[in-house]
Amino acid sequence: MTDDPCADVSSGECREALEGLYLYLDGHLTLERRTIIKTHLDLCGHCGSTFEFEFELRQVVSRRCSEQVPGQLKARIFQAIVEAQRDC
Amino acid sequence: MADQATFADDAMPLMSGLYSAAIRMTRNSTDAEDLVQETYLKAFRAYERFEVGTNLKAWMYRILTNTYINAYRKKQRRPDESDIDEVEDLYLYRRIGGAEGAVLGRSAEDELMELFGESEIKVALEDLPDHYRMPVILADVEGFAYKEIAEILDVPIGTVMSRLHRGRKQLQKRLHSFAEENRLLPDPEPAGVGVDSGAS
Repeated sequence: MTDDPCADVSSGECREALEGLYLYLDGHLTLERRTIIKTHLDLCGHCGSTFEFEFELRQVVSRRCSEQVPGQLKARIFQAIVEAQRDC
Repeated sequence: MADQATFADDAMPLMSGLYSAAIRMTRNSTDAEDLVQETYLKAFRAYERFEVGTNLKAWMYRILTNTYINAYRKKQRRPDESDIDEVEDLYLYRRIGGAEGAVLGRSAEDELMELFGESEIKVALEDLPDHYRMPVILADVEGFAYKEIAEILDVPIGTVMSRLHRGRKQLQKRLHSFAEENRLLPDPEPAGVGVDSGAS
């Protein structure tokens, strides 16, 4: 057994996909490289589940860190802008 | 040039993102509220210099970030934590990957939401040193592109990428220790019992 999530990480394709993981998820790859990785992810279960995990984790980070603005803060800022406008 | 009369209409819709980022920066809601209010007033005063058609969201976050760095960071009195340990790639996946989707019919996202409760992710993010925390907030919570983050933080794109990479890995390491501390992770299966011998 291997500890590596990708069983065949030594193969060029897996290594290339994992190296491009963040760029892929961040939407910063060229269309050509994106397509190559996308095709690999459809074929390689190990890389597919790695990417899926990182993607889901990011969704969870974003959801957990979204805060509701307190109503009184909105009102306070709006009021401050109105007053600043009046002073102009 | 932007018209101050339209400022409220243009900028108020950005408040929930700015407030979320402000809480993660200041680590408390009182300072976050003051920081957001100060950001809005500064932006209003400078709005005539804002060029219509350019990125208002990034412009507002730049004011937020600079205000935080200049005023609030000094208050924080945290020890100098400018560097962090090197953490291996895919830290969390290597440890809990697969387990999070173990319950049939539930998405990995639901499982991760359960594994990390209301506060763990916030605390893990807030524990990151500023250099790493800011790019992670801007990319992973607020959804900015590298180039926008580089402009907001006034650092080169390469610096944004390397700090993001290290910050994300450090975040994963913190999350893993939370999961362990809270005993949220299933016990590892005893060796040799029910473990695939690797013949698959």
